[in-house]
This record gives sequence, C-alpha cells and structure tokens, in this order.
Amino acid sequence: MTSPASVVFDHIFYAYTPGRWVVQDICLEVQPGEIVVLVGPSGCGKSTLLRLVAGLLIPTQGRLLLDGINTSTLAPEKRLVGWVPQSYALFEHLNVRDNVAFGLRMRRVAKEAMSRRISEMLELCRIAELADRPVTQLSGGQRQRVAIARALAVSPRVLLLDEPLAALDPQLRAAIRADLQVLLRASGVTTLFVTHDQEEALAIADRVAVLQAGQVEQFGTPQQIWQSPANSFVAQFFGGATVLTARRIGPGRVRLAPGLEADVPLHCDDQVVQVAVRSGDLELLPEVSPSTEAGQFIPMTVEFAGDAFRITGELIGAGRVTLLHNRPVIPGQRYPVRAKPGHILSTVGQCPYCNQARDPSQSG
Amino acid sequence: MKPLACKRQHAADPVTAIGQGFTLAAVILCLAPVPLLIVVATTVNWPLGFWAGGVTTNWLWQGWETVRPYALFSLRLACTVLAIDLAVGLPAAWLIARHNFIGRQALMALINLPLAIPGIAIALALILAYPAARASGLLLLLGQVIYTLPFLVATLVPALAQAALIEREAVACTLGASAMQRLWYVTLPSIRSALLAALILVFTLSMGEFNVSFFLFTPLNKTLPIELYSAYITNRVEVAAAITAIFLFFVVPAAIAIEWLGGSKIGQA
Repeated sequence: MTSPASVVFDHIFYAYTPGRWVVQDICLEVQPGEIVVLVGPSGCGKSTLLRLVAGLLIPTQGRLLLDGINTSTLAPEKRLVGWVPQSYALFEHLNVRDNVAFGLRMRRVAKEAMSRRISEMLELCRIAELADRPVTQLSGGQRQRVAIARALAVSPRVLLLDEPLAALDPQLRAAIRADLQVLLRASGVTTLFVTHDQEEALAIADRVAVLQAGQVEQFGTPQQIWQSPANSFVAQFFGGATVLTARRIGPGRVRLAPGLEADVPLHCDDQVVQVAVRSGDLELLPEVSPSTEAGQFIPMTVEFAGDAFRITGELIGAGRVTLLHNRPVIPGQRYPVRAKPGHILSTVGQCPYCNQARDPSQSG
Repeated sequence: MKPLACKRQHAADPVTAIGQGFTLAAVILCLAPVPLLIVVATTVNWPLGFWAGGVTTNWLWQGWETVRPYALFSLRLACTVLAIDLAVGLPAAWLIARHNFIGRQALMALINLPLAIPGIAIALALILAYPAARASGLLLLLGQVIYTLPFLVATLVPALAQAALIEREAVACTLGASAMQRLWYVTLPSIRSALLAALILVFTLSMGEFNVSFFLFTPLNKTLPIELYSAYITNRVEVAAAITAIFLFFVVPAAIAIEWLGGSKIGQA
C-alpha cells in the first residue's frame, strides 16, 4: 500500500498556446491525506491543474512536487496518480471487475494479490454486486464509483477527481456527495477535487482553493473562505454575496447604509471596510415602527424559493442586495430593513494595517 | 384518443406518402435484377423464355468451373491489399486523427486524391511510371491499394479522433499502461467496429474493383470482375448470369456485415 503523498505547486505556469496562460503562478501546498477542492467558474484552469498533476500536461514553467520530488518530467504511467475525468472514461468494452482490474493488470500484479485488491475496492465502493455487469448498463452514480474504484485500485499517491458529481441528477447529488466523502476519508488518499459548485466545495473540502482566470484567489478552510473572503470575487462566488463599502462607526460595528448598522469581525481602526452581504444577513422589518433605526429597501424582483421568498432590490444609499423574507412584497415600494440581530457579517479582504485575514473567531 | 389522432395525421401527410412511395420503387428497381439473374442462371434455354427447357444447375457449375481460379486469385489479392492497407492506413489515420503537424492537410489530400481521379488514370499513370513491374502483377496490387486506402483512412480517422477514446487512453496511461498496452488494450478494442467495417469495406472494394484492374491485369494475374467481363462478351448469357450470381455470393455477405457493424455511421465524426 502506497502512502498518500503531499502535492506542491511551486509557481506553476501553463499555456496550451504560447503566451496565453491558462494557469499562472499557482502556488499551493497540499498535505498528505488532505482533501483539497479546486473551485472556480468554467475556464478558470482547474481541470488543467489536475492534468498537470496526472502528468498528462507538463508545466510550461514552475515545479510540481509529489512527495517532495520534482515530477515535471516524470511520465504519467510512472506517477502513481489516479485520475477520474468528468466523463469517467470507463473502458466500455470491459465489465466492472475488469475496469477495476485494469491498472493492476498493466502493472503485472500477482494474481492472488490482484483478486484480493479487486474485491477490496469493489467492497469499498459498494459495487461488488455489479462486478460482472458491462459498464454500459450502469447508472451515473454507479459509473462514478467504478471510475473511482479503478483509480484507487493501484493505491495511487494522489487521487484527482474532475467534477465527479456534475454528470449526476441534482436530486441524487447531495446523497452521492456524502457517500463520496465517506469513501475518500476511508481510503485516506490525498485528493484534489475539482468543481464549479461552491456548495460542493464547502461540504467536502479540508481546504478550498478558489481559482479565477488561472490564478488562486484564496486558499483556506471552508470556514475561512466563507467568513473572511479574500476579495469581492471570492465573496460573490460563495453564497452570492454582495460586497458593500461600509464605514466604521465603532469597535466591530459598521454602517452599511443610512440607518443600517451591522456587526463585523473588525479589530483595527480602518475607517472604510468592505462587507459581504449574503441573503441570510438582512431582514425586512414588519411595517414601519419609527422608533427603530432601519435602512430603506426597494424590492425589484421576487422569487419563490420554497421556504421563503428570495427578494432582490435596492438598498438605498448602498447598492443591490438579496435577502429572504417569509411573505411576498410589492416591487417598487419602500420597506425598512436591518441586519439580523446577533448576526456577524463577513468582511472582505485583508486588513491593510494588521496585514492578516480578519479571523471572526477572535472578535467574539 | 391521442395516439389515434397522431396516426391519422401521419397517414394524411402527402410528403411522407410520396417519399415512402419513391423509396419502395427504388428498392424494387434495385433488387429486381437479383431474382431475374437467378432465373436466367437456372434456365436451360433463356432466349426462349422463363425456365424454357426446364430448370438446371449446369450453368452455375460451368460458371463456377470457369471463374474458380480467378475467384481464388481475387481472394488472395483482396487479403494482400487488406494487409498492406492496414499496415499503411492505420498509422496514417492515427497520425491524422491525433496530431496537428505541418503537412497534415497535405497528407490527407494525398490519401484522398485517388477518390477524385478516375481509376483508368491511376492505372495508366502506374503503367507509365513502372512499366517493368506490370508483368509481375505488382502494379495490380499497388493500384488496388491506392484505390482502397482512402476508404480505410476515412473510416478510421473519426473513430480514432473521438474525444472519449483519447480520454480513455489518458486514464489508461495514469493507470500505468505503456504506449503498446494502451494501443492493444484500449485503442484497438474501442475502434473494433470501425476497424472491422473498414477492413470489410476494403475487402469488398478489392473484390469488385474493375477500372484499375482492367488496365493492370495480366493473364496470370486476372481478377474475378475481369473474368466476369470476358464471360459476358464471350459466353452464353446463362453462364454470364451464373457467374454474376456467384460474384454476388462473395460480395453480399460482406456488404451486410458492414451495415451490421454500423456502416451507416462510417465517415461521420
């Protein structure tokens, strides 16, 4: 059994055509056994990073270290890295068992060890009862498990999953995601997981790398990414936050808009702060009570979202925000709005004075 | 009663009805000669009418005796053409499908060129270029290879260019398969149908080729279609019909096999 490896991207650049960088200056360190999710919009270079680790592409510049060893020129068949592309790329002419056995056969593993390893993998991925089926007869979720079993069978040092849930029905996705997480934890393999779905990233990752236009925007735990997004792109990508410029009015307190104050994890003296406002942060007040201070909100669109209405509109003096409300509202009319009591909003970016990400756990 | 309404609408569509009528007429027109051929080949004295003088298998036997040496030669030739096409065409198709090199367009044009040139011109060019090789029958072989190669390459290129296949090969690579292992265990099984269809296509084309062969054959290297032609101009019509029936016996199973292997998909990306 190979032990999981660390993966280090050391100033990695890659271009398919000269001069047009698909990824530029990527620096990431992935610990052995860690699940790191690479997330970002289409075309941000996340799949390219997986192909670089698999050895299917060679970095134009920079070093890629597996277990501390530079692999830039190591052939893919010698890397011991399992790659599961988005299409799963199952061998359609083979049945489930032979798909799983493929890597072991290519490496000429002894018969007995091979059949033991195959049953182990079929068991782990819960496809033992499908072993003799042609892969063309499987459902999407089953195909995914066969692809992962096939990749894990050779005990890879790193497992690369490219949008493994994208091909599945939305109804199944959450359940299969939970299964997949259990499976990855049980196998203990270092995993790089690509997705464009922020919810998936937060659910499954030990750490998340947010990519945009071939660069890392932020690398941190899901909590760090959610609570202190490094910039407005990360804030908007996670939870569809609106970034508003707020003015500090006291320790840990800012004014978002005229009459609208909120608590933020702020422990230095910046006068102007970027605040991420998500749909769960604000609430509409019941009809005007002049005594309480409130902001002014004019709804523009109202969408029914099942347990609430998702309302997008203008926060007077600040900008466009989205919030949830339990009753429909009339577009164009003014409503009083406030931050949910006891709720701490996220701030965006690094504090220029402390020069560190604002850690919400320290602000109480 | 939705299905009923649907049905009525279908039958009332005049364009569909005309189209179906034409298709049926075309099928009858194409297939009618086959039973007629068999009738002629089994009639004792065809100029007097259908089965005039009774039914006989004599013509078929006589026809078979006449063409047997040529049929065997044609089979051998077709197998040789097949082997050469495969040895040249598979690597060429792989290059064209997988690599974007300088001269790729030129290579494709070169391979496809014989499609645009009449067989006679190919044959005459070969005779003018290599007069000494004609007697050995080598030119006949070469001419057929040139004529059939574009069909093999055109069938294999789309199969080899499939993105799904390239991804499967990449996965095999990460699983530790060497280049030879990938070819043998992933690529060839994945293009199996297209490859088989291409081989049968080449085989059928070689068996039936006339234009090129007519100029390149020698008395010792004479193919079945050439013999069929001389049977028509020198023999009784019954024998000619019998030889044609025998010829169909060689070619029709191959044509059916191509269709069965997904021949309608051949040539599509």
